[in-house]
Formats: sequence, structure tokens, C-alpha cells
Amino acid sequence: MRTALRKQRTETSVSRRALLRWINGAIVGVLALAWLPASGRADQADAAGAFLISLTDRSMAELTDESIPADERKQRFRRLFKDNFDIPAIGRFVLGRYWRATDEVARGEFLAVFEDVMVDRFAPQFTGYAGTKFKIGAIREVKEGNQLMVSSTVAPPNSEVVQVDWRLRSSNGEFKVLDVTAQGVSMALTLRSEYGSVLKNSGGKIDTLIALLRERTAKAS
Amino acid sequence: MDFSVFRRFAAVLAVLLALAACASQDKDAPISGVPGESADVYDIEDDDNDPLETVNRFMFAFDLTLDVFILKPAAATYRFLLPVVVRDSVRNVIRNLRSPVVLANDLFQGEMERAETTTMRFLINSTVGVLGLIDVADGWGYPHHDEDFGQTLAVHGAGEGFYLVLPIFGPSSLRDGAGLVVDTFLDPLTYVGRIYDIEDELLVRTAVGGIDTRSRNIEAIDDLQRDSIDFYARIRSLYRQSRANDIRNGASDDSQTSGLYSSEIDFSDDADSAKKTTD
Repeated sequence: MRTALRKQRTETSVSRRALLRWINGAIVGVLALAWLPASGRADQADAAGAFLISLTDRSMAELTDESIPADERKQRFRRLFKDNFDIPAIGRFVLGRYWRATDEVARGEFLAVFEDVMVDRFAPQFTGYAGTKFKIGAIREVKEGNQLMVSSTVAPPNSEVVQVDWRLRSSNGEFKVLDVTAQGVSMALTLRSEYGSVLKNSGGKIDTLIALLRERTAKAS
Repeated sequence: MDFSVFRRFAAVLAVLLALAACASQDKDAPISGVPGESADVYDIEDDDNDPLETVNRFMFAFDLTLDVFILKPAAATYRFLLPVVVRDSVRNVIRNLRSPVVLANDLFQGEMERAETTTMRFLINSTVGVLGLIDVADGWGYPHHDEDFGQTLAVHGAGEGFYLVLPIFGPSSLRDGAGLVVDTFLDPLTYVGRIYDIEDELLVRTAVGGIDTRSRNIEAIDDLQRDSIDFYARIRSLYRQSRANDIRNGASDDSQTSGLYSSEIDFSDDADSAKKTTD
């Protein structure tokens, strides 16, 4: 019986030591976490802010000039759009559950016409916005650092200030815009809801959607 | 005193509440069609929370017709004939008259600071602002905000019920439609109108307010309609999102803490496979 008791005691003290070691390790680990990546996080936030400022500066410089022809403005917008927005990811999100059921060819067609629709819709909007002021506000990380939400305020010359939030994807120090939200209304969510409705009412046929979008771009030009 | 108006409103409210009892509580508009927080976006059942879609689309078409033939021309004329100052005064008076309703809802939501702003606005604009014609309070640090009983219900946990397009008023929901009715009861001017036998005071105020509001978004709505491939769905989505924004009072949507409205967007991280299909 004594041996059994002694065994019990040594087992307990062994496990208690292990527990204490574990606790120590955890404390050190937590402290390390608190100290080290904080600087990394701050860097990423700064970089994201810089990316956005650069993007808005370029947009103002290239797109608000009233003297350039509409086609030229569309071209410039398309370049900025392709370079700075993650169009494939946006297109994929916008199609939602229908993306999986779409073959490669149709996906490519959709992304192409989707890009055209965006260009036709947004390029003309920039006239009359010369002198718009952007101010970057809070930046926070979401999705374990893969995405960042940047708040900003946009003050057009003759209009009320608008709250605009940007969702950025971050990979290897490069940033791409995933979504723009103005006064709580998200571009990606709105389009997803609308296209989803069209797809639902046409039995999930992506071709119907693509045809409708093509019609839209034909009308615009 | 003729209480027939109240009887009618009470009847409408009763019907809406009965419908609400049937619709499940706390059912929120999956704003994007994603119910709640869904990690895997592609496995969900697309739910627009629009069980009355056929009826709604019909009502929407009706409202659009009313808009094309009556409201929009009236708004365009209003904008054409009256200078900005006059139109702003109209809006200011209407906003001022709505202060009691806004105050009541601020209080119901426990928003004391906003309630104070509303009170100060009412006092300042009614006196210094000459019966509400001039929005003096805005320059004195009391910006305008609106509240309604639909938002109050939402703050207390009520889901939207389902999407509902109202005649004339347009996009709404079961909850917000009921809220409209309650606000009418909350409005002291409704009672004043009855006492002094000012017929249709509410109607005139609503109509003028409607025309003024419409005059401020003519081009924006035109753009929207031109850009949409499904205008009904577009408006439904915009309504829900801006409603959620109003309920949050413009605060950023922290999906982790806000159980009411999750607009957690899940962009697939294997977008690389999507990239290969372009160019």
C-alpha cells in the first residue's frame, strides 16, 4: 500500500511540475505574441494606408480631368481597376454558389463582361470630382491578417462627406481591393444579391446573366 | 371627434402584428443571401428572405408607375421652380415637425446623447430657427438624425420578418411597416390635426416630404435604374444594407460582436484558381 501511495505522490508531483512548466511556457508565449507581431501589424496597417492613399491620388490625377475624352477615361480606369482590385476574387464572390457550377470558359466570359460593366459604370463618375479630399481613418485586420478593413472619409468639393470603407486583401506585402462600402452599402454584396436574384429566376443559367450584362455594356457605349 | 383614421391604422397594425406572429422571430435579412455567419459561402441555400417576392415585384412595378407618372414629375417641377433655400426650408420644417417621433425612438433605444441632440434641435430651430425654417442647430453642434419605430424594434432584437414592398412608400419590411404605423400613433401632430379638424394634415406633410426627398435623388435613382439588370433586387439589397447602417447609427459593422446583422464577407482565398481563367 505504501508503494502505491508513494507512486501516487510522485505521479502527482510529476504532473504538477509539467503543469507549471506548461503555464510558464504559455506565459512566455503570450508575452512573445504581445510584443513581437505588434510591430509587424503596425507595418502592415501603415502599408495598407499608403496603398490606399496612392490609389486615390492616382485616381484623382488620372480620372477627374474633364478635358480627356470618355474613352480615354475608361481606359485609364480599366488599368487602375485591373491593377488594384482583385477582380477574379470579386467576380467569384459576386456569383456566390453559382461559381462552382460554372465551367472555366463561362467563368472567363463572366469575369470579362463583369469588368466591362464596372468600367462603364464607374469611369464616368469621376468627372466633377476634382479636388475631392480623402482622409484615412481606422485600419483593422480581419481574417487572421489576410484582409484589412480601412475606414476613410471622402469629401467631394460640392457634396456632403461620405464614409467609405475599404476591404483589402494582403498577400506578400501586396494589396488589392476586394470591396468598397459607402455609408454601409457594400458594392460586392449589392451585386451579389442582384446577380443572385437574376440567376435564381433564370434557373441558375450563367449565360442569361452574361447576356444581360453584355446588353448593359452595349447600351452604355 | 372622428376616430375612423385611428381605427383604420389600428386595423392595419393588427394585421401586421398577426403576420409577425406567423413569421419567425429574429429572422434577419441575410443581407447578401448568406444567413448569419457562414464559413463556407458556397454551401448555403440562397435565401433572400422574400417569401412574398411575386406580390412584392408586382407592388414594386405599381410603385414605379406611380413614380414615373406622378412623383418624379412633381419632384422635378418642385426642384425646377423653387430655389435651394426654399426647398431646404421645406425640408427643415418637416424634419422639425418630426422631432417628437425621433425623440421618442431615441429614448426607447436608450440613446441619451442622441435624445439630447434631438431635443436641442427642436428647441433651437423652433425659436431661433423661426418655426423650424432654418436649421440653426446644425451649426451649433447638433446634427440631424432620424429614427423610427422600425429601428427601435430592430435594436431590441426584432428581425425584419421578411421583405415587403409597400404601396407608395416602397421598400420596407414586415417590422418596418409596422414601425411606420406605430410612429403615426407616436406623432402628437396626428392628434393635433384631429382636434383642430385640420383634415389630412398627415397626408399633406407626408406628400410634401416625399416630393422634397424625391427631388434630392432624381439623378441617383436614374443612374441606379440604368445600371441594374434587376432593379427590384438591387433596391431590395440597397434597402436592407442602408437599413442595417441606420440601425447601427452608422457605426462600423463589427460582425464578431453584432449578432443582428452579419455582413461578414467571405472572399475565397483560392482566388488563384480564378485568376488562371482571366487574360
